[in-house]
Amino acid sequence: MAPPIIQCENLVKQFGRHVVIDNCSLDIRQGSIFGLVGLNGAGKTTLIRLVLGLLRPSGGAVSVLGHAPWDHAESLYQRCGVVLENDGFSGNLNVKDNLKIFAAAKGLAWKNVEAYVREFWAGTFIQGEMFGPSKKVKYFSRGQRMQCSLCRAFLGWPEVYLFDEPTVALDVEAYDHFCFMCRIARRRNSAMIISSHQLSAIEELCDMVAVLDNKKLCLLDDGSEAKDGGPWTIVTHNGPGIKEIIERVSGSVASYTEGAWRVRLQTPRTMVPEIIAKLVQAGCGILEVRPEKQDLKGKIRTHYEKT
Amino acid sequence: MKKLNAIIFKEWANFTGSERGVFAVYGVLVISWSFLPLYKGLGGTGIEDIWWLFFSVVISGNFSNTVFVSERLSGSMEILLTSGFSRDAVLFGKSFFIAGMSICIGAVCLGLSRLWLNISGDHRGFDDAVISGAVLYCAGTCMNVAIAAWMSVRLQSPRLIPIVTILMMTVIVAGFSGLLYFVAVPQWSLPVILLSIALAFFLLARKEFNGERIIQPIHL
Repeated sequence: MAPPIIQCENLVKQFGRHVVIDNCSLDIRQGSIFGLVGLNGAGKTTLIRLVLGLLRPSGGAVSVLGHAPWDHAESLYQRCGVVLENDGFSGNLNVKDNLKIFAAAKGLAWKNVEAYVREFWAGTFIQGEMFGPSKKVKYFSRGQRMQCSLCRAFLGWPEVYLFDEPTVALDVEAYDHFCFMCRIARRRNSAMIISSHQLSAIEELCDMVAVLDNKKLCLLDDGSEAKDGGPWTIVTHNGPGIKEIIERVSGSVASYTEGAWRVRLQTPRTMVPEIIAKLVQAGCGILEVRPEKQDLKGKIRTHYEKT
Repeated sequence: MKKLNAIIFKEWANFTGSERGVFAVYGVLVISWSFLPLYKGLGGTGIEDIWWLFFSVVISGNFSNTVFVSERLSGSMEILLTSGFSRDAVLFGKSFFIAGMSICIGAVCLGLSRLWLNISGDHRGFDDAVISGAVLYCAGTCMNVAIAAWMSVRLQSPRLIPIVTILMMTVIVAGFSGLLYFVAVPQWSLPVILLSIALAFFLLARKEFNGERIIQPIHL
């Protein structure tokens, strides 16, 4: 199992007598993206600030890359990419000068920053601003400023990412680019926390999702559905011998409704490839194979109904 | 040191990218203030040292508002503190920038004063006054910057910073003047007092910059 990068143990935060986070524990490992959802005012930003060391825990412990963030170690922040509510750019400077400042903070050589923008932000407006005529950041739209924030966060490919509402005001292309960058970061074994109200982004990117509700963290999706046993859907036509193939491999009863086979698989990791291979061998065209899971919105609704 | 320079560069670039009106205001202020020593040239009271001291309050107070307060108002301080800069680099980078700008503007003002006195043909005692005035100005600037750095975190309404700084300076100067009336206090003791207060407030500001309050939202 990959080593944990971000750990919270029985974390408590209170402002005066008002408890915001109560006994939250969290374990985010290398190469995983953690989604944080919750109602307005639930404490998502507070949790991110605790992980960042901007707030001091009232109880429990936080550890990021083995450091206690409240120690404010420069070396820790150099290994973190952050997007918070405010972009932190100096409005009177252009993107290039702003990035120069943040590159200096991370100890990055400027030529590496240029190479990073050329490689990963090619075709975006940021490339144009960097290598062509530029304007002051204060004249950018909200979405453009968010793209600049994301460009800064991924600068130097840090090991930890903490994103608070990173998709706000992004257009379709910028959103896709953000997802693309997140996937690269995951491949580089980074750990990431994304807090967002945009559930589609959370659903698309996150391996684990938790809701912060009533001061506590409640895991909605631990990423095990696709790995562990459960109901699966195989979208294909209904022909002779298909039911038998599926049932023989799965050892369970398969039913065909609305153009798809539904079957419970005990060990999907071995059974899914075997079913696919056998169906293809039998000349059956497969359109889709997926675990049956409730969408995130449904899970959140169910959670609130229960509580 | 590189990070300190990066913060100073950030503030400098932000200042030089300001609207032209900002420079016009500073220009008018410097030229107007530079005429004040002529008052002594015309047989005045000899309070030019104090004029310089309060000029430092005006200039450094204005820079403090832009450099310390605006960052907290916009919430961008959080990003700065989590981007790899040490909190000391942020505090001292910003402070050095304000002090540096304030001293440069003060030097221009002093130079212009010297010019006007030369033109008027009356510069009795001015060169002595320049040294004591410059020393007081620098000490006053350090105190103003330190107080502003601390208050930018402590005050819920940071627009009060210039007022509180003026108040502090007035109380110190008034106290010192009163003391001079009764006791023969050496002239150098006022800059020493100002620098001691500056040191105390820098220590307090450093503590605040390492605390939680630095990211609390503030409102004008």
